[in-house]
Amino acid sequence: MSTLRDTSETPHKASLMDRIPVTPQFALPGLFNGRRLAVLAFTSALLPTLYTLMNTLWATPDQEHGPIILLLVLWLFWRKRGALAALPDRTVGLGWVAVAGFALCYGLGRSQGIYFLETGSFILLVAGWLLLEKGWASLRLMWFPLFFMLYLLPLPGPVVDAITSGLKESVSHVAEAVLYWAGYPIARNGVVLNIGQYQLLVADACSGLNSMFSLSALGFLFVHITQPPHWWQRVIIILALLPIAFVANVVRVMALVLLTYYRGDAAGQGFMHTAAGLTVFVVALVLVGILGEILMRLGRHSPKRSLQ
Amino acid sequence: MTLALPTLQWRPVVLAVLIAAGPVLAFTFTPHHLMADSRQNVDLESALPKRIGEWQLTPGGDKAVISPDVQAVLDKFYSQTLSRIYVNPQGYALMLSIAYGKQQTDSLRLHNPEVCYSAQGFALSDRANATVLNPSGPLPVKRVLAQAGPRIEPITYWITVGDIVANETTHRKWLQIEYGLQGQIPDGVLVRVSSIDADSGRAYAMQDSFIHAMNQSLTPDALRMMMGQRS
Repeated sequence: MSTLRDTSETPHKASLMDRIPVTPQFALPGLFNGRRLAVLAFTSALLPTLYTLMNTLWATPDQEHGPIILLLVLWLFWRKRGALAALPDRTVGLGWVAVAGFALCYGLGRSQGIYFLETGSFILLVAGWLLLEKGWASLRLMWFPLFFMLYLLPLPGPVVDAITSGLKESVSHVAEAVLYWAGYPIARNGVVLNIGQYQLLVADACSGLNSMFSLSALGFLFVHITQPPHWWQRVIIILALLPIAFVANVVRVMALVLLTYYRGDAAGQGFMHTAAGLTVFVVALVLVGILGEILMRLGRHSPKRSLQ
Repeated sequence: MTLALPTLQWRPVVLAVLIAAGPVLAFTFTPHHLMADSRQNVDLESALPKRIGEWQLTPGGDKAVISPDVQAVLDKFYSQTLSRIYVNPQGYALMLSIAYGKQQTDSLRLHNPEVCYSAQGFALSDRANATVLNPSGPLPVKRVLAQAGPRIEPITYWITVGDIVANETTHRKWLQIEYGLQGQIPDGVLVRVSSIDADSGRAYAMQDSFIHAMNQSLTPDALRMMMGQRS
């Protein structure tokens, strides 16, 4: 039986349909079957985009997390496949509009080199296709993977530039204040830190925009997978993500400053530079985990209190 | 018993056609013609004379010291770069820096000097739009005051896309799409004039007079490319 069938007919018609022998699903033979054609068209749109992303954006250190996000998105869809198949077939006309919107956004975005539009168009396509096959219920089921696809989009350049400089300034400011308070000979001029005989420039990468981006992605994932029972637990974790990423980044900058101070310029710029970045990321994740655990424990007591 | 004719599954076919319209549109509207190819051999070195009006290139003023790693990044983004120091008879020194990019796309685009300067540790202030009244017409420019410790550097700059001056990022993006839909890949030029001078009023006046002189000494082709103007 066709799964891409309009089931919004009247009940009378539907009962009549039941007596008619089922239309063979593959009216066209082999490759020219409609569904396969659609999958083929999807692939022909996706592969060029993946190729371009691999060679440009995802090849830069700022967007290295791209392929991981993609795998996560695929996995998030995959784990709901059973529930999706169990939904009744339903066609919502709006799906056609979404797919047409995909064609326009993809066409414009890819031809004019606007990654944001080209990558974003796939959200429209997946949402539209779901609407055509399984109706609104499938969107409710798949809302999180669709939302998570947003993390695949590269932030537009002007937005990045605007946030980066502000963040960099704040990160340098806090790092300087803390180290000064701890008694180190440190001074700051804009985003240049002077400690001892060394002068350090806080680079764009140190603004932590990318770690904030990937940390918030992982935070949303954490909340979605663990499903804290109370709404306030979810809200607190989500709200805590950005401050945690910020603190983690300040710690990273301070670690690099101290490394340079005690072990020299080479140490601060070499292998340890990368290691510090990774370590801080892990620390931030652990902090999110601990916060989650604390909130869970608080949550266990709260229903009792409300009963008293 | 009812006879069932095998019916065509039209919905998935329409879906396939709609999806395929995306790549087809993309292929149709992808611009292939580089505007740079239709320009007469853009060579920044020869386009800028050693003497511009009363301004004279200082000996060695075309050999700015740039560290190799910075140069590597510059080469990746820009097809040609030029940086020179010009001095007037009174000894006032101006730094001229030009970057030429053959392709203005998302991944290869000119950056505002604001971004570069703040990345170098400069604090920026007094951003403003201004117009330099050139002999061949008004030229919209941006002014910004960069400061790092005791070094105060007023900057005047402008950016072109194709043959049009566009100092705002969004304006440049629109121009890129506009050119692109006409099958053209625009090039772009960033021209920056600055001086180390605590008196920003004097600095801007000096920079304007240099831009006037530059306007008169460029060939028509170079003028169109660098200032979006016709002589």
